[in-house]
Amino acid sequence: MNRTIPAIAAAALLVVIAGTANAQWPAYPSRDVPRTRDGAVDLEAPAPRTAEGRVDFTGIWAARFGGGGGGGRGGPPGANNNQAPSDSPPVASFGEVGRGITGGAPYTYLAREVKEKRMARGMQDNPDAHCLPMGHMQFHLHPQPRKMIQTEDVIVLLYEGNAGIRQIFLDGRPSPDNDPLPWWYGYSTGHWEGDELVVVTTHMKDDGWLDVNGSPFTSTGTLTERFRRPTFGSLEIDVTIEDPAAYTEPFTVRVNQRIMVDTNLIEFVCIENEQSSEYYD
Amino acid sequence: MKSLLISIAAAATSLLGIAAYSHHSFASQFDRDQQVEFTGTVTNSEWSNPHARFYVTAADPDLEDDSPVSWNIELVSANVLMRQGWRHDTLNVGDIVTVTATRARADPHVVNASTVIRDSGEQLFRRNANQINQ
Repeated sequence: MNRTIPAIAAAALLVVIAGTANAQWPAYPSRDVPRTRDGAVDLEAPAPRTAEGRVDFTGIWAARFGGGGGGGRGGPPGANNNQAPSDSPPVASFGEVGRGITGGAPYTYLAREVKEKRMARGMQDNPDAHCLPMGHMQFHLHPQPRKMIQTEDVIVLLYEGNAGIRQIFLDGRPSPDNDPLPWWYGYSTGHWEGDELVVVTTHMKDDGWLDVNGSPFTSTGTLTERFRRPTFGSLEIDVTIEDPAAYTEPFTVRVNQRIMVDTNLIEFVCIENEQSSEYYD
Repeated sequence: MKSLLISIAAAATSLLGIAAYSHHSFASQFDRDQQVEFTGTVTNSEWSNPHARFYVTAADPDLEDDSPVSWNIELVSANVLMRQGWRHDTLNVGDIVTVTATRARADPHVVNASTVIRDSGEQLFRRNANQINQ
């Protein structure tokens, strides 16, 4: 047998363990990045503020996730190895919103059935698998980054994964009461409670997929997200999920993200070369 | 020896808790129990989303007939590859590569790549922890 194969295999293993080269996207320096004396990004520096004195969430953010996803898409509930401190809500994973909750999210009987059916079909009905918008928790935790652009009146969230777009209105408007169309992203309004931005989202479509495993979300639901930026480098979002059609009680989970500097989003057009759906049932 | 690369890749994957993300559910399309390794010539590449793909002509090692067949090889998204240093012309027609991969349930010659290695020994691709759920 070819003697080069073991050498190649050994080299491959070495590279696997060592990791690959990183970040070849053209570097363009981000402005106003705090640096340490050695030039590194000072992730522990205070969060920046807007001219109005608000915490500024503007930036590109990467999900911090550990032990999540993959084939098991989040593993069993209660198995979270990216657990938050004891005084924090359990950390959600991309695959399983209730991963950090003992016993899992508090599904109603029907919602649990829906989720189990979705998993039994290999999650092939996840809207993302058809290039349709992901559920909110998937967007929060997707490994492709997202960009927050903040003005006094609105925050725009651009998600690289599946090219999602979301608006959070900060101009004091209420959630609509004129029966608007239900939307993939819902209708989001925000207000400030000190340095915390509280965002309430309603008017979402039925048959939602909060996570890859298919935890349901319906048009009766409300998401309340509390955004905090404790340091320059970190973003915390505590998400309270309230949906009497799918969950027996409200529950809150934590999303952690980290800043990315000197980079930008990359175009992502999902339908460009989507072939997987040819193989679905 | 033939399956050494597969074993190495599988072991590394297991050790590091690695799994690949697709915009679809991996299990809905691919069968983890059907691993394959083949070496052949690149006939086309598609720098695209939600998955970059390339095509290789090579014999199927699990068939008695050693006639070359065309393999459709799925990678992660072009975006993820770009952040790892790939460019649209990283793979070119005529390149010779060794691929370890997982077969699709519906078509044995549609595969999801675990590793891609040039004949020079340069590893171009591996599923890694950063690709979990991408």
